[in-house]
Amino acid sequence: MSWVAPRWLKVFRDLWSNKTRTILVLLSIAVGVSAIGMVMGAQIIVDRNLPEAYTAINPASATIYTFNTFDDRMVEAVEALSQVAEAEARRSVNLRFRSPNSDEWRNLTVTAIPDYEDITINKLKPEDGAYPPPPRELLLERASFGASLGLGDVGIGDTLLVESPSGKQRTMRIAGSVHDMSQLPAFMNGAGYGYIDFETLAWLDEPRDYNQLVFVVSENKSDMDHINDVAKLIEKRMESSGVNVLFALVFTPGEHPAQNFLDAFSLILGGIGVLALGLSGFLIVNTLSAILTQHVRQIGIMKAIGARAGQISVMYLVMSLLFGILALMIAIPLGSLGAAGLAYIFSGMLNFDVEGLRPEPQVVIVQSVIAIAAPLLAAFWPILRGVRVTVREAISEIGLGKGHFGHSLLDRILVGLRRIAPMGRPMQISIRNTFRRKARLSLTLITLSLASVIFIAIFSIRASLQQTMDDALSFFDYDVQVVFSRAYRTDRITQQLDNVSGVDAVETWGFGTARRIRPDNSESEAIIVYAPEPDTTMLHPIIVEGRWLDPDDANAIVLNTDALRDEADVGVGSVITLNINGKEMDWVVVGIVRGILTGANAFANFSHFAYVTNEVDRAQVSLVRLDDRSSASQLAKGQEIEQAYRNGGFRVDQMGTIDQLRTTINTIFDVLIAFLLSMALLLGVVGGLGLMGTMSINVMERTREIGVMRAIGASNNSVLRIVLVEGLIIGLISWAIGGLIALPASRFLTMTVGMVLLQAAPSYIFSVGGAILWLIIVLALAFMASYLPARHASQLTVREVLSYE
Amino acid sequence: MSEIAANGRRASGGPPLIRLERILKSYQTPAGEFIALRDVDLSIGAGEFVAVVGKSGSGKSTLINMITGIDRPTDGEIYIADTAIHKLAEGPMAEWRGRNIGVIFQFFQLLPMLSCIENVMLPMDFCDMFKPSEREARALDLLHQVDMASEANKLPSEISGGQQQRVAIARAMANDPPLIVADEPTGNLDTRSADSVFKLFEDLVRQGKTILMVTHDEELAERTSRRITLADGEIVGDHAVHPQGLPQETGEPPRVPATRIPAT
Repeated sequence: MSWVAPRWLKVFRDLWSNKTRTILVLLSIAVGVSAIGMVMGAQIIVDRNLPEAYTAINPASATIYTFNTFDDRMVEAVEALSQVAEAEARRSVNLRFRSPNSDEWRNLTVTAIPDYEDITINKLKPEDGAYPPPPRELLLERASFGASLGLGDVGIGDTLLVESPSGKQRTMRIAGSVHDMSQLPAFMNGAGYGYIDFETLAWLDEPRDYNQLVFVVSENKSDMDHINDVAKLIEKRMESSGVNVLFALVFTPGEHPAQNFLDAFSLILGGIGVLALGLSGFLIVNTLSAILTQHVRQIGIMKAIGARAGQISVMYLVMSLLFGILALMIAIPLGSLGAAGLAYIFSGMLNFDVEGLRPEPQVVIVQSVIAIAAPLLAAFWPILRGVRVTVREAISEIGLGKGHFGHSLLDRILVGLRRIAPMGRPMQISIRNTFRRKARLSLTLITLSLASVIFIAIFSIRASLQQTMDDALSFFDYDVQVVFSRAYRTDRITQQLDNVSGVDAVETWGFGTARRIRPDNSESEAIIVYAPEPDTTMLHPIIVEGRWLDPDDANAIVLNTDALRDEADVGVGSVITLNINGKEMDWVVVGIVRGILTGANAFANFSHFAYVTNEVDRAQVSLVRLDDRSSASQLAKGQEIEQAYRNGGFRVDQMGTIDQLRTTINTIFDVLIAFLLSMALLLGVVGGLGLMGTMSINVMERTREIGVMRAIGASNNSVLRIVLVEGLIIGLISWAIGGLIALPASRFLTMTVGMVLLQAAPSYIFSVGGAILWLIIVLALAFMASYLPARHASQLTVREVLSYE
Repeated sequence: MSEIAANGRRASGGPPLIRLERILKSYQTPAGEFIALRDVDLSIGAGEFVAVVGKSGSGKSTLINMITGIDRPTDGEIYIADTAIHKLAEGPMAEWRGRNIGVIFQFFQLLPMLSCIENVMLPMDFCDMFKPSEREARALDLLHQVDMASEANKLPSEISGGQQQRVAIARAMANDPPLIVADEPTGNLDTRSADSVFKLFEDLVRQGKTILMVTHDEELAERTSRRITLADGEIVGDHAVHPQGLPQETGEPPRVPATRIPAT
């Protein structure tokens, strides 16, 4: 190695001789740079694949769902509109099914398409097995083969026992699988998707007509307002032909239906990537400062034998550069792998294919810049400070007492602590040692506290989302909901359950959609109208203004805050015109209730609503509250109730329990939370690395002190305990600081995530459980991070220690 | 060395190599101002072997730190040859020191990650002295002079304290400085190693180097050519020890020392 100048040999050997420290620094840098690579790379892969795949299916501009059915003439009429380029109709039916290995009935959303070979909108892609679906057989959407949907143990060729809303049971073979990107991923829907032809629909005793219209606008395809206008035009056309429109679903043009879910992920991951980078920046500053501190004497010696400050600076900058380059060699493949993994998870969740998983050049460039610049920037100040040390300062640093203690107010408070809280000498040493290197302690605390904030915030987000869901679900205080294919007499609906045990209450509600006709004759978005009995016990509205419905009210209506979002001129006392089933009537707004994730809603008295909809004493929905409200009871009783209705000749369209709804929403939330938690854990690891570095350096610096303590009788355990307790104190302080910051930060993050995910402000609660869990984790981390340095310290012999230089 | 006068000038009348004029060094401590050196005037001629003795806290280390430029005087002037080192900034000072003074520490202070020969090459590298292709040979030659050539590729941790100090001396000689300053060079060595190191110093003086050495060891101090005693920051004794000069082992007269120290 004689061709390499000794000063560079020193740099290389400094890296090589302290491998643990070098690995610690490399990991510190690599964690942040990998995180950025992972998040950015995944974003690029998803951005490249998802829009392309989604555009390829020619997604509908909007889908219009109807209460009653329509035929081809309506489709032709819509297609004839100049604003519409293409239109197609389908029928979607909710079936129940049972797999051969299960006794449990599950739901399946089955779509019948007239001509599978000529789909122009929301195209399906055949995957495996038969295509199109053979008569009396069905195809399943590829993402439906999941255990959570009851289809985990079936494959192509297996048969399912299915039951149509009329109660007809048929055995159907799964003939193949297709890929349908137009649907919300099955796990978010809470039910799988099946595809059949119209012959099979008739075989299942279902009408051959349509209840869904998909269309593509002819111009301004990416103008959402235009699409909304066209959708309203079509709805009007349909309603004037006697087709009751349930609602029109207009997705943001060119965006996958679950794009908001993806956006929430990207937002959080991006934030966490930046945070991880920031934290690793702190780690680098901390570790390089520590290295410089350790090297003070060497710097002094080098200066004494002729090195200039500039030369020494360059040596340590090169060292930082090498750290960056080496870390980059870890971070590029790791980030690329992480990006592929993340993109793969996203593609699995949102049901699209990703291709071309390779290191993205732009990501590599960003990673390179960060990996090289971050350590250089982080090292700049420590180096500047380190090389400014004079030879005299450097070589006079002998004896004990590195890290000043005793001068600051804090130090004096700590010294005074022993008078308030009597404690043993080793504990006093641990506490005082903690505060000796205040700058180093600060950086370690920043890292660990940030990890604490994020962890606690993530748990608060989870708790808040669940609280929001609970609020929404307790708004409607029933356990089982049964939707019939048509309206039945209310007394018949109620009486049918007289002989079903365990039923606490049964209510029948009117249900429909309305649009406000504004003073300027324009129409509002669809408003879902619920019409409960006046003495309902299954609604717990939170009144914001005005009052709830009185039994004597006729054309009184209560709106929720979501309904007022676009109707700023409406308030309590306003008289508004609503179009319900083509009938325009005036209603008096008597109250405003808080909207809870259910969109624009209106509430009217059942009798008056039934009169308006020509369904006097008839209802299409049965709501049941059970004596035993547990999830097991909900499922069992729900199936019993459904069977009771079927036995009584009711055509049941759908049976759902609140618990199923909760499970579906929870599944979505849990996927998000699992992600967030893994990221929080990553931050925890970064924090742990930081603490380990700090503790190692502290121990190294105090080797001589440890020797003195051993010389005067400290046992291995005493030394071990002193160091471990110091680590635990740091962990505890970081938890306290993190917890305090988490109070406002959790609220902010919850609101941000909630707005992105739910398009509404969620209910907020601070997760005390999350804070306690993090306390346990951070103490465990602190223990692990301090154990190695502590053990090392406890094993030093007095001779070794006192000869330490 | 009878020609050394009390003022440190050679009888021949040549200019002194080291000249300290009215040096005051004080430190501010929590207990108030502490005077480490008080009004010190001192001249040392080229080729002298000077021992600085005194009790702990007498100002010995402060004095040699003034001369090496490691520390700066609160007041007064220091000239090494014609260089006013009290006026040099930290950067030029480091380079000047590397080229002109070999510093030897009590705890050897070899860089632990470099081998012995690499430690010796390091000053040449920093000060860009000698051609890069010549440095290794020169370092080996210096190690040979201190009888450490056989250990050239060992790390400092693999050799004894006495051997480390020999390597440190070779390192101090790397840039062929005319002046060598040693702070307690034998303080951390056993008697045999200390004796061996001292003999190396004697050889260096015979080669014409000027050596200034802080020591507690009265016996070693008696073997130098001049002894300066400090107490409470003042020179309280300055006398020649060997008026006839150091014992000549080769019979050759002391060479005229190189005074390559450039004016800046």
